[in-house]
Amino acid sequence: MSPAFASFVTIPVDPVDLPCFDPGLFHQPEVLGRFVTWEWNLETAEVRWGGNVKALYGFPDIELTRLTDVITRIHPDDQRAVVDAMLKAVVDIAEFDCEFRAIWPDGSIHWLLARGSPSGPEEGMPDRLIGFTSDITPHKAIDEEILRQRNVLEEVFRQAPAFMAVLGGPEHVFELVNDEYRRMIPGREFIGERVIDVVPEAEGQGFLELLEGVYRTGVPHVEYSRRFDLSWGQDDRIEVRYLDYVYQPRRDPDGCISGVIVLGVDRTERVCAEQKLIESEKLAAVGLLASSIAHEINNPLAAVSNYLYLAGTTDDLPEIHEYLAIASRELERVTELANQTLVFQKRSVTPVETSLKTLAEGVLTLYAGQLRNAGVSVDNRHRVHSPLICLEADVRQIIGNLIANAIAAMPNERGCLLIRSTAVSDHLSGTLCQRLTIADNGTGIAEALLSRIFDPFFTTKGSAGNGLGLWIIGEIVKRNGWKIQVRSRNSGSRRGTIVCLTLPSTP
Amino acid sequence: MSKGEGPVKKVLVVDDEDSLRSSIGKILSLQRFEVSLAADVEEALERIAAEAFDLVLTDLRMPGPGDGLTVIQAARSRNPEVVAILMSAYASLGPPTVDPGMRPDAIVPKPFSIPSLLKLIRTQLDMRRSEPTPLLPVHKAAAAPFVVVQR
Repeated sequence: MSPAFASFVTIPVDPVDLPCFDPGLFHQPEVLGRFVTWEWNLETAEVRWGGNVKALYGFPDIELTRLTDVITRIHPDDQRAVVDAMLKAVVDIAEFDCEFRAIWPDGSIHWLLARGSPSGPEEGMPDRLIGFTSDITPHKAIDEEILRQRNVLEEVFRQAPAFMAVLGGPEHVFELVNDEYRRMIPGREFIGERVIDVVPEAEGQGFLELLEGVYRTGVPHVEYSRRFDLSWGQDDRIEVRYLDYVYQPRRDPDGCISGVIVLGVDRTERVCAEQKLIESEKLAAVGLLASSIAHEINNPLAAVSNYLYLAGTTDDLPEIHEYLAIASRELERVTELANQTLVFQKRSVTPVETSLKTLAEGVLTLYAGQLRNAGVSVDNRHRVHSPLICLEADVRQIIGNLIANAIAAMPNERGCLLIRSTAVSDHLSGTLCQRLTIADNGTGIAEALLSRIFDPFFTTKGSAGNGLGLWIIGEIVKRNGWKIQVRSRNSGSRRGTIVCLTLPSTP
Repeated sequence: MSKGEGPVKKVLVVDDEDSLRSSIGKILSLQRFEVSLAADVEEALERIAAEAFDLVLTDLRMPGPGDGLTVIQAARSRNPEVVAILMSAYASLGPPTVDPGMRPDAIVPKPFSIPSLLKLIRTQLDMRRSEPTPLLPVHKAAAAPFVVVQR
């Protein structure tokens, strides 16, 4: 007997040798019922059973004395595989191991596991197969449930509306990517490849460094609306995408970091839509301002025209000088207004030195006509004299939107707009900050609505408002890391709204 | 008027812009009008209550309650023959007024040329003088040519 052959003779049939086998168990009927030894005589094709066969096949052993009797009780789809496995074991003189279904008299299906090996005289061909069969239906149900759950998880992973990738090892090799990930970075092969090879453009944009950091420290990394420039096509055309994502460390059962899980949402469409909305709102604000500015320009121009006419009606030199002086003063008003209009539309790219006083006065010039016609008195006082370095167009837009809101909130007489600036310091960081306060004694905002005022399209002005003013302020504040607080009362004697914008003196 | 025909015409100039109000006032004084000035609607209504005017030149939007159309309505109910000219620095005048009593005889967008304003005033006053006193002044006012002077 070959050594391999000899090893098969005892192991499957003698459960005492199985690892961790408890001999006491063997005598318990329920265990015995699910575990039956057998011997198949190759010459006579008879089967001898060593246990409760009925518990396996639903038939008593006297009905299963021949191999063909047993084969007919096996599910037709599995019969071929079982016979083939047994014959192969005999021919190869090797162990066989197969799982199959038995059909009971009541039609129920039971999963069985049979293991066996050929046996025979010391010299020559084997004359029998000996082994055991056990009922594995409960295990099979568990396996099927595990498989089902695995399939569900795979489907969820594949179809998730978020992009996902599982990276392994310090080289960040793609182990799994889902459909959304492939959609985000189309036309590339991922599995088994390193991130740096598949997405080389990620390197120059800091993403690889972030992955390294997460892999090394085990601290997850989250980012919102992070720009990602995807190279596209042969000419490396750039496609800008904005992503919300997290790099989550993957840990082994022993707690070691084995890779990084990438999970995120492509926010490109939304970010682009928001940018367009901000642009259109800026245009609308310009249109609104235009009529106010026209008024502010046309009045002094009319005065200039009148005084020039008057200067031409007299020969009295002092009188002419007086008319020309007034005309010149009126022209200065027009010049100032033209300058303010230009800076209002100028886009900031780099922070410049300015002051809250300068910015507030500039915006007030543009709104002077609207404020006067609305009967609003303006109290504009500044206690900060140190310079402010900021993106001035951002601050100007915030002031403009707040003043427009204040005017709309004060439809009645005796409206008062208060503008103040003070120096403050951040409690936590100790950073020197400046605070701009814009307050009105208008209608105020109901407490229940205060939490929604920064939402897009939320308005209390009905059809007169588009609900974008404060939302844009919120976006600007968020982008710059500034702070804004709103307090408001819409009843009682001290009605009105106070908005405080706090920003660092230097960015 | 410079032609020296008839009695001196009374004119009310209403504008919240000091420099505009006083310059128009001076120019019309030189044209031998008897000029009254008002800085807002309230003041204008006081002047109209005190005397009837032949000509009213008023701004459209001013601080305080009411606007130029309120002034025109008051001036016309005091003197149906009044020539009412509205001055506006805004590109548009907003919704057209339905009340004919508020309808100006002409609209002058700011800034305007003084000679063309004076010519307009003269034409409008001459039209009044050549027509008999209307029985239904409000209707006549509504049917009057609606002139917009170009800048």
